[in-house]
This record gives sequence, C-alpha cells and structure tokens, in this order.
Amino acid sequence: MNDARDALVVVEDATKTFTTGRLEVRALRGISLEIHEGDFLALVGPSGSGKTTLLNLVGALDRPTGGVVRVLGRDLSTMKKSARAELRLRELGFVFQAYNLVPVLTAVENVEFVLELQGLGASARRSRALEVLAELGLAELADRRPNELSGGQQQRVAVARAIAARPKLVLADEPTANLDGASAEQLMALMRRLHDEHDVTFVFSTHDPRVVAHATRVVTLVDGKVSSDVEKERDAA
Amino acid sequence: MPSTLRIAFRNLGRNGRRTALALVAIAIAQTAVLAIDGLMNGWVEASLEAMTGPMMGHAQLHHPDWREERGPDLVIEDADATLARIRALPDVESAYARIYAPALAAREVDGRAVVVVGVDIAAERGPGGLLAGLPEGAIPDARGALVGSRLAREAGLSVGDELALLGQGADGSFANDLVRVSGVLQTPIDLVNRMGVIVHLETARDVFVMPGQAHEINVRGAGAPDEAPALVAALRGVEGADALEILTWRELAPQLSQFIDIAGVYGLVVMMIVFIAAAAGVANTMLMATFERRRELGMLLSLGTSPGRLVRIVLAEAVILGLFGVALGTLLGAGLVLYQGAVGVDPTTWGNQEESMDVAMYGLNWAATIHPYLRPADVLPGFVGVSVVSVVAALWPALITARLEPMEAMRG
Repeated sequence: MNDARDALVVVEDATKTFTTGRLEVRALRGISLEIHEGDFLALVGPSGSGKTTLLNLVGALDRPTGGVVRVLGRDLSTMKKSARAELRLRELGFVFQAYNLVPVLTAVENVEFVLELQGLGASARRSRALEVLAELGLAELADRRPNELSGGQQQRVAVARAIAARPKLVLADEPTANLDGASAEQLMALMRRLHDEHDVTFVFSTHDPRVVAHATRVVTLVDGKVSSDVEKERDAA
Repeated sequence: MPSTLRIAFRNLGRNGRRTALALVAIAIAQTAVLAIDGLMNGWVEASLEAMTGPMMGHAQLHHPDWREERGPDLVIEDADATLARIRALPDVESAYARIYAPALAAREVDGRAVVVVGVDIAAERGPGGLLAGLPEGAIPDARGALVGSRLAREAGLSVGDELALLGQGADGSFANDLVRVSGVLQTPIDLVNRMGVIVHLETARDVFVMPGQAHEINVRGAGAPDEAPALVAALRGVEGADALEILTWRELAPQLSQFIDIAGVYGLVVMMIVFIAAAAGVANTMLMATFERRRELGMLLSLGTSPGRLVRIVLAEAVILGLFGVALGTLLGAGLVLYQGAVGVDPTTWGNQEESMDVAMYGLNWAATIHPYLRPADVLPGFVGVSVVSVVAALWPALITARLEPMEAMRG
C-alpha cells in the first residue's frame, strides 16, 4: 500500500525459513509491506500465517532469510547486533503475549529497567516510570512484582514499559490473547489513547475480531504472504 | 543499587533450589580442596618431623670416616666443648652428642646383637630429643638402660631384667658391663626400636672408653628443616667442627628426602584431580543453571539490553554465588581441617584395619596419625580456582546466549 506519510518500516520481499532437524518451515514467503507513522495496524491471519515472524523481523528480534527489512531507514541485515539492540532500546517498544516482565523486579522497576538501559538518571527514570504507570491507572500497583498482578495488570505494565522509553513504534504480539474480554477491551482502549494522544505508531497481531475493530489498518497474512491490506474506520469508540 | 546487581541478588533469592544447589556444589569443591590440602600439609610435616626430629635433626657432625666405616674409634674428640660452642650459636635450637656402639647383649643364656646408644638423657627428654616426653620416673640411673620396644618384645625383656653388654672399646679393648632394664622405649627410629639399648652418655663413654668423645653431634636449627644449608654453614665456623664431616638431613638421607619431594608432587597431583572433579561438578551446575535461563535472557535482549550488559547480569550472579559458595566452603573446609588437626587422622584405619599401626620406612617409624593443618596461603588457590570455575561456567552459556538473536534465545 502506498502512502504519502513517512514510512517507519519498509519490508521488501522478506522471507524467513526455520530449520528444525531435516524439516524446513517457510514462515514468510516474500512479504512486502510499509508501516507508516501514525498507523494503528492489526496483523491478522490464521495460526502459522507468519504474523509473529513478521513482527519479530520488524522489531529487529530476528533476521530475515531473504529480502530487506528497513526500520527508520536502516537496513537491519547490515546492522551489527549491538546497533540492533540500540535500535530496539531507543526506537521500538514491545508488548508480548506472555507479558515478559522481569519477574524479580516490581512494576515500577520493570518500567525503569528500560529507562536505565537508555542511560536516564535514577530520579528522572523513577519519576517518568511513576508518571507512565499513573497514566495507565497502575500507580497503586507500582511496588508489586509480576506474580502479584493479574494478567491484565501485567500486560498494562508491559505497555507502560514499552511506551515509557518514548519509542516511535510499538509492536505487540497477540497482546490480548491471555486476557479476559473486559481486560482485553481495557488494554485496546489504552493503546488507542496512547496512539491518539502521543502519536505512537502501533502494530499488533491478533486473532480476536473485537481487537481488530480498534484498528485503522488491517493487514491479513495467509501462508506467509500478504493477502490483503485495508485502511478502515474504527468500528468502536 | 543498579538493576544489574538488583536483578542478580533477587534472582538468587527467587530461585532458591537452584541457588542452594550451586552454592552446595561450590562449597563442596572448596571444602574438598582444603581437606586434601590440610591432609598433605599434615603428612609432609609429620614426615619431615620424623626425619628431622630425633633421628637426624637438621644437620649432623661426625668423624669424616664414621658414616662409611662405623668404626668405634672414629670419634669426635672433645665433643662436649664443641657441643657447647654449637649450642651457643643463635640459629641452633638444640644439639645432642651421641654414641652408637654395636654390642652383644646377653641375658642368661640368650645373646642378641644390639646397638648401645649413649645419649644425654636429661637433654634428650626435651622437644625434638630421642627421649622427648619420657616421664621422670622412667629415667634410668647410671647403670640402668632403656630398651627398644621390639627388642624387648622379641627378647622377652622386661623392667628389672639384667643385661650383660659385650663390645669393643674405642681404644680396641674389650668392653663389657652389666645394666638393668629400667624401661621399654618406642621411638620414631626403627633401629632403636629393634636393637637399641639406651644408656647415659657418660655410662657409654665409660664402657666403650670414649672420654669426652662422641660418634655424632645431632643439631636441630631454630628455622625450618629446609634452612639446614645455612645452619651447616654456621656450624662450619665453629671451633673444633672444622675437621668434621657436617651434612644436612637431605645429604644424610638423599633417598628419604627425595621420597618426601616425590610424595609432595604426588599430593599436588591428587589435589589437582580432586580440584578438577570438584570443578567439573561446579561447572556442570552453573552451566545448567544458566542454560535453563536462556528464555529469560532472550527476553532481556529483546528489550534492548546489549549483549555486554546481559553478560554482566549473569556475571554478577555468578560472582556473588561463587564468592558466597567459596566462603562457605572455606569455613567448612577450615573447620573440618581444624577438627581433624585436633583429633588426628589415621589413614591406616581407612581400610578394614580396626587398629592404628605405625608405618616403618627407610629406617623411620612414621606415626600413622596425621594432624592436618592449613596455612592462610593454602586457602587462596582454591578460593581463586573455584571462583574462577564458577564464573567461567556461568559466563560461557551467557556468552553463547548473548550472541544469539533475541528470538532464537527466547525460543530456547
């Protein structure tokens, strides 16, 4: 899809093949896609269609077998490991299906962790972490560890961690998959608010039609290829 | 506190079983190294003590031909004056004059070859002397004798028995005397136990016609046995000693000295084997502990943690664990060695043997009981070695993980 807006991510004919023993699994079979600033993009498709693999490539968590993935104008395949770590740290935020919070850190320390990696001073990162947690309605839970939080609360802490670093792009892999309906709805409303108020670009994979309803762009993958790419109005407020 | 240390400390607390397992492995490794070290120290010291104690001292003075020919006339003249000058040297702890005279000991109709040993009984009851620890009541009078334990057993001698001694005087005359057994003696010297009849130095001088003379002056330095060459150099300057043969204990018994050195190397090899076995256990525990955290480490990479930072997080945990484990092992090992040092260890009872036995080798009786001990410096090699193994074993999988793409690590 062509768009006059700046392309944050350009994927050109990307392929990804996993080898397990003698078995080769072609997860992506030549995907081309642009993600633009301001997108609130849902990646949909059946299991095994390549949604998570594509998110991992865009998030510099993995390298493509073939093709090109450019994030903020930088070709990931030519970047060193440390440069890709720096890109993830400064420009990208992640929300995983399994939350992936550091289990031994409290909610506020989890948010602070990324800010510390960015080099922020102790008092600055503590105040920003508390501010973001408060904005997400988690102020009361700041000193709790992940195992003392519900699934929905953990995922909101994961979102807080992702946006506290002020990334240009947040990637969320099935963020609502482990949440009940109400928590999923709450999370999507939160992500939409962050998108609308802070101009954060969101890309998330999902199976859930209620989640898709929040998206302004829906990319459907089938068998490792883009089968459709549609701009739409939000279905729900 | 930086998050690296915070994560390290909390991870150790959170994974109690894993932490306990690693701590125990590291502590056991250090304990084993220290226990072997202590045992070796005790053994080497006991061996050196046996050699450089009553039998040889640190150095000996003889007539130049005495060791070769053992002739009764090959004596140290004016031995008492030379002995007094030797005792006045600052580096000398003790010095004794001795006479060794082969003789026939007859009791009723039985005769037996013996060696009459004339010693300064009052002086040799002191530390390092042939009669160290001899109770006052057992001191023989001028016509009394102490007999070696094995000689007493084999000849059926007991206290109060009379022995007729027949030998050759230093002047070539026929020497004979009658002595009464006043005690049975167990010494570290096998020869004395088997053949020794110990009498006062003056008695021996009378019987064997050796006025003011001796066959040997046995000297123990104030320093360690290995400082014997310096002691010999000092002895060479003593008036009256210049014409004598003066040798260190290593020169007197080169085979025995070599045996101690070889045993020391053997001990080092045993310790290396124990260390390698213990280190393998530690390495295995730490490797498994870090490998099973691969997914967690991958997640940290995904957040933008640099590979270097990731390695530092694992390193912090390993260093904390290693230091605590080694400290614990040092306490346990030092405690064990202290206990063993106090009660003594008798390796001859480790098999099916129920009773302790002495070990005779190269003419020496080694007391079978070893008293292990540690020097402060002995703790260091284990401390460094075990800590390094713990850290390297944790570092290796961490480095492998840090080289992976975050998703590869998270897939496990």
